[in-house]
Amino acid sequence: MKRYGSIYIGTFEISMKIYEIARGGAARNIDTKKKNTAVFHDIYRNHELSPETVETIIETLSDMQETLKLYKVTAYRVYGSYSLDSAKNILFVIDQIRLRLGLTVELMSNSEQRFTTYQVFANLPRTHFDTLTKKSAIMLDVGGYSMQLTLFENGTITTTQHILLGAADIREYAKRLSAKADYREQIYEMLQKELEAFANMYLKDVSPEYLIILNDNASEAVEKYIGPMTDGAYRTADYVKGLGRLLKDNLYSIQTNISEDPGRDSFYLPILFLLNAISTILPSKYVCFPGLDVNDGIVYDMAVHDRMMKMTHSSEADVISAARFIARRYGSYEPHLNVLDALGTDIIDTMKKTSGLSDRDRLIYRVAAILHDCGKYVSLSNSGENSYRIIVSSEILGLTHKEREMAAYVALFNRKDVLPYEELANEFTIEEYVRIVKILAVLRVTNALDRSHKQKFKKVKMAIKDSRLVISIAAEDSISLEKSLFESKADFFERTFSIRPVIHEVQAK
Amino acid sequence: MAAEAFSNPAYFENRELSWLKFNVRILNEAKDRKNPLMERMSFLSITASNLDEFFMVRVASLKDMIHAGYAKRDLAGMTAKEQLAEISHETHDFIEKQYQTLNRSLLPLLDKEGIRVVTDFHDLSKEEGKFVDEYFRKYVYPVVTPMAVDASRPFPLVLNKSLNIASLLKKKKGVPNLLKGGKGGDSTVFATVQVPSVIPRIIELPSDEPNRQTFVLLEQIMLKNIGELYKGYDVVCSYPYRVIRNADLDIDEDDAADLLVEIKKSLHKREWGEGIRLDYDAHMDKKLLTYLMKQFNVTEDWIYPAGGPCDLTFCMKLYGKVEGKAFYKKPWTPRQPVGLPAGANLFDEIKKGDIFMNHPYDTFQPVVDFIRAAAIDEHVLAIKQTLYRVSGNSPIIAALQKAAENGKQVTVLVELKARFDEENNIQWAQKLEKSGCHVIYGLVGLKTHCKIALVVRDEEDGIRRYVHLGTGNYNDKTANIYTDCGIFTCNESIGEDATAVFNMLSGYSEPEHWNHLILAPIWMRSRFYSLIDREIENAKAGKKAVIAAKMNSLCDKGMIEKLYEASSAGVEIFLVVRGICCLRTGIPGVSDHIHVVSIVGTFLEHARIFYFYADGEEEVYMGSADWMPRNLDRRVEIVFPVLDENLKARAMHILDVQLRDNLKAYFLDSDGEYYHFDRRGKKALGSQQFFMDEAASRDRDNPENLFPRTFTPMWAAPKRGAEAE
Repeated sequence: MKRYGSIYIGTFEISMKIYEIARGGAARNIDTKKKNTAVFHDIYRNHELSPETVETIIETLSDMQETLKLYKVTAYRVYGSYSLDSAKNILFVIDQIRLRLGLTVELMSNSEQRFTTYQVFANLPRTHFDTLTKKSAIMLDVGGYSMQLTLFENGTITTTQHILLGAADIREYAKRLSAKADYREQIYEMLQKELEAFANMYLKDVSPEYLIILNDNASEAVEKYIGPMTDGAYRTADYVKGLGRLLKDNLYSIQTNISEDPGRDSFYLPILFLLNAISTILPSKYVCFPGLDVNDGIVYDMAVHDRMMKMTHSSEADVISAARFIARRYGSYEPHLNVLDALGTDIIDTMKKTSGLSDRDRLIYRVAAILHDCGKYVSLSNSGENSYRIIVSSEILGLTHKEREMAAYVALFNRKDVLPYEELANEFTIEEYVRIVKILAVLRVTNALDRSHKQKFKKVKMAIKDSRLVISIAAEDSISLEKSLFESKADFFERTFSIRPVIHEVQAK
Repeated sequence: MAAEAFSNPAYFENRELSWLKFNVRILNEAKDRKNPLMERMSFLSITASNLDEFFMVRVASLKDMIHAGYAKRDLAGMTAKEQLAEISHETHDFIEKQYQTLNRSLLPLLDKEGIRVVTDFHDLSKEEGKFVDEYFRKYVYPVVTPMAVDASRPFPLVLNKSLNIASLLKKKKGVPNLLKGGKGGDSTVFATVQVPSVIPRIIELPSDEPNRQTFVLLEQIMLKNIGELYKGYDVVCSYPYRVIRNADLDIDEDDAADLLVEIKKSLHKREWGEGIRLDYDAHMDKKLLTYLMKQFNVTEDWIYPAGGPCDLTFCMKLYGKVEGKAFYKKPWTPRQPVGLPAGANLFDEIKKGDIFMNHPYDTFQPVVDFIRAAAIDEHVLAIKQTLYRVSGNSPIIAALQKAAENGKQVTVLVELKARFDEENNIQWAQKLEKSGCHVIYGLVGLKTHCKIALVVRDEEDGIRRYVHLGTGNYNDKTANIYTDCGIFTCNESIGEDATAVFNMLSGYSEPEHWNHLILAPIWMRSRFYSLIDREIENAKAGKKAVIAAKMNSLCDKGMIEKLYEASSAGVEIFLVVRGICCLRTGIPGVSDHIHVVSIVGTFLEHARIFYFYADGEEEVYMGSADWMPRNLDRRVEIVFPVLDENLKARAMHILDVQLRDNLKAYFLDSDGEYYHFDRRGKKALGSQQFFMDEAASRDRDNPENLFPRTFTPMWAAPKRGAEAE
């Protein structure tokens, strides 16, 4: 049995969860604390956190730290929302927290933040993730600053989109527009415009069965007003009706229906408004709230790392399916991608002991391979640059922002010379740079092996012999094109890994 | 009947008048010859101190309403002015009855028993006179400050509730006049002196006779020697008086950066609030009285002649001083609660199952031990507790301090605003802070009235939380005289809720969901409504529907209307309401299924228990909240379900026995008056005595057999018995 803690500084509140986890995964939440802050208000108005807000944050963190001590929690992490990055003074606030409390606050990127919650949702048996996503589902992770919409089809992710529109925006719009009689319609219209783009692009042939909402504050408010879910979900019609009833009154005069805490109400109501709009604009049969937040995800991540909990859901499959979906969108030639995926993973697996590439690098390779030429959709002449842009701008749930950037650089350097480290030092550590180049070396070799995009190699075997990576292939057609281009790629590979790949042709039967 | 039809003002009793009726019931105990003499004295004293508080708070706020031009009517349709007129009338009657009880009944009876209480110094013998004169010189004279009033010396500030002696003085011939007399050459001057509160009000005189005791009141000693205070003047006349002032606390919490400072400030204000009532010696010189009325700005309606010693709380001061077992009730020694062997490890016992305590029949000691044990237990990580009113030298405070010193994390919510107890609370709060406890001073805008203690323990299989939930304060002294219930549990979901309560009290947001606890002001009201609604639905469906509830006061309009709605739907409703009850019984079609009893006994009925038949599921709740607007809307209160079947039976048993009380119970009749039951042909049953006997005789080996598992309120068809004499 081990105790884990997680503190998360969000846009609206600082929250802390402490769990007791038994080996085997049985988890028990032993304490939860949430405190409202003016973080959003400060960022929205002044682009920096006010001294008062900083003081509240430090006081709250100090009390939470006491709670961690009380339960003798040594395994804990403190994260801040990516939105804190918009505060000009955030680095100094983090420094103050470190100096005064000895706590290290790490800021999460949007993808990390979303993935952290998603991961625990996908892995906990009680959330019935597989059942919910079996046919089709939209997963909505909504916060103060933005929302993330993820579409599942047949149990796999097809797309995930980050939309910069959150509860806080709704609140600000409502404040600005509330003098107008039809302000609600106006906000609704604006939302519709934002979300219809998603619907038009991704929901043409899909009618989602479930709308899964990952936001435990919202679930609390909804449950209070509509009542508990039956069989783990609300019928959308009932849910929309219930929310509509709640929102019939003025957005700012219905506090008493939900909570005695006015600070929270200003958060609740816009979220409920948002949820109401989303469930009408993106219709589903059912709506459900798994009741999880980023803290659950952080704790889960630590517990998995300590082998206290097991990962049952493969996030790798999510990443790959999302990457493939993007590739399809941009008209990439799939058989070629499949070969690159298969050959590259073969190479990485064969060289596992000597390459220094990790499982995450293998995943980055796969994403880079799948998306390496998606830029051709934009222009054939500058496809590397375009691929880089597309990868960097496409959210892939399961990859961190950094990992996505690494994959993008791999795609970029596949077509042009690798930039020296000095030019990338702002973005990557040396170790990360080396990983990028290694992944690139694998991609260049595999790409050369299918230069004709005709998948000529049928049976491929790989082995390491005398500092050489022997790729035994049985080809039905002539592979002279591949062979001729292979050597320069092999040089690059050898410079990177100190192992030379060689093609050993065997007679195809 | 439509719901709004239940809001007819004729269906409600005014809360102030209902409270006065409650005080009458206490006075009845002072009159009751079956009660031992000193108990009767103490009941009389209680009526007096109750009345003081009533004036300081309730009458004062009605007066405030009039000052503020507030014209809204109360739920019984009365304006503040109408209420005050009624109150003035009733209280004049009442105070007269108090003095009748004292002069005609209690003092003569004491005298007959050899206990003489001298209420007029003229009755002192020569020897006794000498003693009191000496006493005056030695102890009283050095501490009093007589103050005269003249043109340059304004009328002094007279402390709220303090007893004072007013005198008219005339300059002696040949002595220079230091005081500037009144107009028109009137040479009389007014002077006043406070009867010092640092000296006991009752002084026993030495006596050689065995079995005889003589007591004299301090003000009589002063009156006898009043001339000593005003040398150079002739004392024309001297009479005791006292003034009751507006004491209603009204702290602007929004602006209160530091609540503690604010409370201290308002405490100071309380001593000098507006004069509400003037008590004076019935023989007081008319001129003197008029002068006092003018100074305190009190009209005819609010002056009360005392047909005996002013401030009857002196009766309580005799308690313990008068010797003789026969004058007192048999002392009650609280017993060990069922299922909790003396000396057992509390945590182990609680782990075996929830424990129920019915104080003061069951001892409060386990609650003290709970905190004490936690303070020294190596596995305990934290103790969190709410404190509302604590006793002087509270062992709980001491245990909490020790816990903090032992490195436990101790969080204490000290409610500073517990009425008339603030000074005490501030002291404890500071003491706790010094020893390292984390002290929270309540929530802005809400009084924290809930009674909850949480002990977090790090056990082999993880964190385990032990919770005590109660209906009464963590006060080991009052636990011996208040009837209250409490449970110990380590039920995981209640533990989670308890943690959430303390998180909320320390400023964190409400949790995502609550398991069992029902909290005011969040949704206790709506929860009670829905529990009653369920009974209504069942009654309408032709099913059995019963509600039984015990509380201190019932004056919430919404709750009463809901009960009317339930009664009209056929739900049988049994209420045990000690004090204020604004509900009227026996209104055809409205409240004919509602029965109300009030129990006034040696112990102050204080527990809150709520029972709902729930189509046979039988749900029982207990907690800190009455059905009053302040409890449901303006305080942090907890009501908790009694989950364990055995414990449920215990709570139901309490209601059952109280509803069968035909000795100390009054029933509220349709005329709004309270009557004793007609006991003819029935065995007398006093619930408090019953519980004492039961606790003293119960078979500890078979606790399960002790209490019936089913609950069927036995309602003796109310017939008026004789009113207490």
